[in-house]
Amino acid sequence: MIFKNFDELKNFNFPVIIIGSGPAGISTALKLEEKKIKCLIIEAGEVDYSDLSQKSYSSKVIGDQISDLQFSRLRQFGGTSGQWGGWSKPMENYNLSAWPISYSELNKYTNQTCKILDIKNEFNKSKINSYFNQIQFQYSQVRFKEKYEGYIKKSKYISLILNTQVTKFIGEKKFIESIECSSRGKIFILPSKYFILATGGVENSRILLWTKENNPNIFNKDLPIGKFWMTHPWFIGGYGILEKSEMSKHLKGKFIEYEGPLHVASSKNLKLNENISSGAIYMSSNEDEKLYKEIIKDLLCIAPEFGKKIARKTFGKDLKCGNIFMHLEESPSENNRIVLDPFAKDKNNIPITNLYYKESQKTLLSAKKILEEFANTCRELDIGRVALKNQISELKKYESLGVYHHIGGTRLGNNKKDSVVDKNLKIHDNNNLFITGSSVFPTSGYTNPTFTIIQLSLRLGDHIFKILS
Amino acid sequence: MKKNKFFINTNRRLFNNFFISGIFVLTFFKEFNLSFNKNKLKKIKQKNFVWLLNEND
Repeated sequence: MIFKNFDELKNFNFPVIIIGSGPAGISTALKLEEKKIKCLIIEAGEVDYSDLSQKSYSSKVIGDQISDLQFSRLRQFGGTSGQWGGWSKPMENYNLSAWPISYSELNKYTNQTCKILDIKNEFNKSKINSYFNQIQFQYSQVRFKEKYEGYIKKSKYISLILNTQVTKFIGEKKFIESIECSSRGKIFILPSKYFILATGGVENSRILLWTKENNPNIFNKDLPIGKFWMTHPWFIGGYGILEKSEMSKHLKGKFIEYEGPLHVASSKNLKLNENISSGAIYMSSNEDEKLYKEIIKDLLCIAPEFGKKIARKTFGKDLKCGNIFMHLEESPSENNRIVLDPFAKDKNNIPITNLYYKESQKTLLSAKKILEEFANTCRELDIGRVALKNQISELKKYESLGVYHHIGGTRLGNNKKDSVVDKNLKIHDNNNLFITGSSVFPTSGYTNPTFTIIQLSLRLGDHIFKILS
Repeated sequence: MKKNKFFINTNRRLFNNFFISGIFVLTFFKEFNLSFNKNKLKKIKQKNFVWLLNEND
């Protein structure tokens, strides 16, 4: 059911309230529906994009400048899935070593996550050598608003209200009694048994920080709310050329051939041996002809023997030739944090967020090491050749292509000093407030976060069912 | 005449032997050198990039 205004809600009682209608919120609701538990999803945005609604996401970044946080997320039904890239894959087992949740616990939800995202459960991995694997992503075209609007309208268990901003939680220490909402200029108080915060990697921290500012005793004071914020540094590390047939020969038939970019990821060995972050290398599926020709010319000039061999295959299907994109894990840092702006406020008088962010030197070191090792792998196995950008080779800087993944701020863990939620995603020292989404990731891995967000949210739905029954 | 023929033949045989073993030795060293250099790293700066190539590229 979709409610048109807040007055219609008066006669209903929901044991679970989910704040946010993005992939995290809707996936949790789907799991609750499977267990026949009624829930209400509250979405601050409208059914579609609007400039007015989006303005509430205006934020300032202090430090290294990254993509504007007003536009790298969406405040509308379906959340940022309205503009996401769609590349999906579970996180690597070795990237979950700092998580209190195991790979197998998340893997239980892989099938259902694939169904939600309308993708195949095929995530093959082929070992190139001890440092690199060819990996497989699936591409999802699901927009949660388009897929689930009609579904929720007909659902007996999932209800939704739009244009309603949750401003803060009300309650005493250990127990949340209700939420304060602002809808069409009016303030409402809505009670429930359980609350699930699923508003994304910036807003989750914002709502908790504003709640804490209004009621300093509501949460444990030591909880690092807003801290350890991360993203996936995304940039061009260099360019190069790869012969798919040579790679296939080397992988003895285990070469993963599919439409789309060629993906290679660093292994656990490389991460541990060199003490660097993990990372993935992408070579685009759409070749840039001008760059392609330049690379071939360069190679003919500086590596004539290899250049001649490659020149014969120019623009053939066998060659991948172009930019080498990198997607890296970022080390968690307490100093990268979300805080409330002391002066600027949104239309509901709630402070906007400021993000303190500094790129990590470890990212640059990791990018250089991964690229060098990948270049060495390519030339030693004779499957291609790679050139590093000077800026990365000299450890000067990387030029970010944008920051679209907002991770951390309410990270999960067992220690209250460096985490906000426990392994069941319940806020420490609280009985009925849960958080889901990428804001709970204690480490980011290199993988795009949506797949893991959905796995975590489905798991949370199961946990709520256990508590309620 | 016989002596001369003998010397000529001996010289030819010696020459042929030296020639063949020479080619063999040269080929061996060339191959050895190539395989030795096959995976040897050569870094070349080109525009704003550093290529990591093999010595024999």
